[in-house]
Amino acid sequence: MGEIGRWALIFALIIVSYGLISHLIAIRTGSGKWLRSAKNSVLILAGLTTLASGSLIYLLIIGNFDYEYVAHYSSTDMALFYKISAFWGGNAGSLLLWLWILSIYTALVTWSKHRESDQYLPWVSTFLLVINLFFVLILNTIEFPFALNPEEVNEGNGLNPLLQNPGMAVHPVTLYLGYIGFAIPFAYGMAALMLKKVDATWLKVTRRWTLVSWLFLSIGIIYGSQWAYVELGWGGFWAWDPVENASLLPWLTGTAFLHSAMIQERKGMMKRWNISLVTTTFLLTIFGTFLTRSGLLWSIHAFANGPIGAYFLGFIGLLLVGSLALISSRWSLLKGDGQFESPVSRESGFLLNNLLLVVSAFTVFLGTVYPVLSEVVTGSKVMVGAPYFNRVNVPIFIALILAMGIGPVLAWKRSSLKALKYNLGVPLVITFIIAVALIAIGINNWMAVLSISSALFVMMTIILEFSNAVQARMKATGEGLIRSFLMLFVKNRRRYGGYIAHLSIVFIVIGLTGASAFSVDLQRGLNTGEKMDVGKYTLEYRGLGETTTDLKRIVYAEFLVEKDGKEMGVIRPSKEYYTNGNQPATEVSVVSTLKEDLYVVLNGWVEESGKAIIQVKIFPLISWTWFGGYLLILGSLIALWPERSRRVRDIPRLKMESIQNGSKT
Amino acid sequence: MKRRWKLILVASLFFGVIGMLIYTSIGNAATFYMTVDELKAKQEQAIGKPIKVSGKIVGESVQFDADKILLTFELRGENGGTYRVPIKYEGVKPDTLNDGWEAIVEGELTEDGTLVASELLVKCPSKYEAMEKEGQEPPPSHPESEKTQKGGYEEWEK
Repeated sequence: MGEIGRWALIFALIIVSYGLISHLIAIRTGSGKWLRSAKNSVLILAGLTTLASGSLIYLLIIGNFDYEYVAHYSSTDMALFYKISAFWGGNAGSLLLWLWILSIYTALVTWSKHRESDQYLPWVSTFLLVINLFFVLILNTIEFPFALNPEEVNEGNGLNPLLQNPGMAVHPVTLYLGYIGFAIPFAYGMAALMLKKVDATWLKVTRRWTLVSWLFLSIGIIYGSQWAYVELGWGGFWAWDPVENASLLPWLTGTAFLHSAMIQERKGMMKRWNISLVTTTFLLTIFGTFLTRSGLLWSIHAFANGPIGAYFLGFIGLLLVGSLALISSRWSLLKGDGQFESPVSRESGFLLNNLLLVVSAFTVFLGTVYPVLSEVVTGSKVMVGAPYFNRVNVPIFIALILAMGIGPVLAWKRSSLKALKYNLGVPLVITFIIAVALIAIGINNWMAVLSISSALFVMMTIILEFSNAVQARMKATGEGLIRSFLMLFVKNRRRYGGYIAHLSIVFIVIGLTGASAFSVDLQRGLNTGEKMDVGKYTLEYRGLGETTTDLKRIVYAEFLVEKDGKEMGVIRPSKEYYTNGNQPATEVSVVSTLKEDLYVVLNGWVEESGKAIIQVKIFPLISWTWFGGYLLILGSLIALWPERSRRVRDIPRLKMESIQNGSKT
Repeated sequence: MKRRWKLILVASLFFGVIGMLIYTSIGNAATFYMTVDELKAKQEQAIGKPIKVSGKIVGESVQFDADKILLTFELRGENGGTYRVPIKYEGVKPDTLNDGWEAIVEGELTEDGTLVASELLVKCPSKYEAMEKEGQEPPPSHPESEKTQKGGYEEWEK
């Protein structure tokens, strides 16, 4: 089976090259025969990568330890689910997964049909195939998923126990689905430039791809941090660690792109910005993969992990130079159709949101690569930690939230101050009262006051938007309250789905603010029988215990938890020692309520006396963040859901638009 | 023209504020990263500044006071030498604090040359590092030079 996989990858290299050449010939000659052959080659490529991935999964499942990768990342005692997830446990497998998803995406796009697809698709496929080529090359030259094991072994090492968690097993896949998806709007953007078509067609065609990728990226980030919170046991959810930043960077620019694309679709403006933004986002996804896979930044031995880092840097450089050259050669073509008419308009709201998001991405990027930069410039390695990221980004994020409240109520082109006052007056007054109240009850953290009150401000504007729309609809159609509310989503999914997504950000922000600005953190040594007070909670230490299974030895400390004097139950934070010699894992105990989480970590104990050393944290409001995550998924799905009835009506409008665009170019 | 000037003014204000924000924050949050050998040369300049020092653990120096939860030990340079950096760390002793293993300590150097640590990370032994150098994947039981102790408890940095 491994031989099949190995050969599939070798053939994939050939077929990618063929696909590229045949696409270029088809574009050159306009020959339908070549195009058909080119399109088929993309299908074959997807088949070959599926075959390769399938055979790796098969080897992992049957536990064929003749293969190095299988021996490294799986063992016979693992559950089937984790045997499969070992597929992306290491470098070679992760890159194969990248290629697999990318080639399937490529096939889907190549065989799709849309307006002007005959012109677009050959170029789009060509660009996508270039990206495919890079990954196929790596898999055939430096990272071999099907390398044979030099020594004979009967048992594999097994997957890191920390990765043996359902959330963590799926987490990389969601991130990759997000990362890779951005290749498609990028390829369309580049294709549009090649064709000298600078209207918004490429944005309209790729809107769903962008949104889906963005959604997967968001899910990956949120549930990645939830996993860190529950599973890693270091008592936090976001550490501004380079790999976390790597996923946040394309999210920030991708979010900016989602918004600015709307201006080009509606007004034909910001064309240069959009194409640059989609290029940046795509480059950042490759950069993210590079950071995760090369170990450049947090490994003391830079580039210690072999030539893969150099490959990635070279590829990023190539993409950067190529796309910059293409964009600059079309620069004058990319002039916007209109101009900003007024500083108080929806357009400038979007512009502000974009500036803030991109600036935030820039500061995160700067902080992430700072150790490398400073070493190159000054010779000494300087790192910047969480304080830098928080201090710079919290104000930017607060400004973003405010923009999120104001932006949607602004009208296109020009908004009268009177209308603004009408729409925002009440929320602003209430927000002000809330802020004063927060300060009055003794909250002296300025950023927290600003963040919570501006989040509530956004919540109010969204509720107002909904209630205005529902009322208008009830009046116009005579429908009932609930029906009109639901019909909003049917009639304008994109808009109201977007509002739900905004609302989810409000929840996430409130949760993050509460959990980071008002958290309590105590470390204490307790003897058996001793009690400890934290906030409203009392922990009574009842002693150490131990249980042993075939796989691990678990040492736990038992605590009776009381809240306001009322008994809540027993918690057992523990450490797990694996019999196969893996590093021990820390299992935290979390008592979660809507208001706050009580978070207890067993740090260690004194063997002789049974004294336990624990860390107790309280994270106020943190569960709001996870709830916001679910809401975000819901909102995005609403915005994504196809609008069947509308498509019919859209046809005449689309035609008119294309005539307009055609006459302009 | 007037419009253009306004735009330039607003833009420069915006980027000025962001620039200031970055400039002041980076200065405050910067941590110098050096090895024990480098610290030996620059000890006087390093006093009172946040630093991150990497070195090898001196096994016989490790002491853990379970009552105070206070850990003290010493770090030495890469190639022998007699220079030692005493470390004081309020936290639990990691299981991996073995002689000759590499540790990275973050904290502040006091006047008497003791490093009061706020974070302690222990790297896995050199066998796996060597594997990493050769471009091999270390086995998953030691998938990282990052399997670390941070703030006295295990953290697995992704």
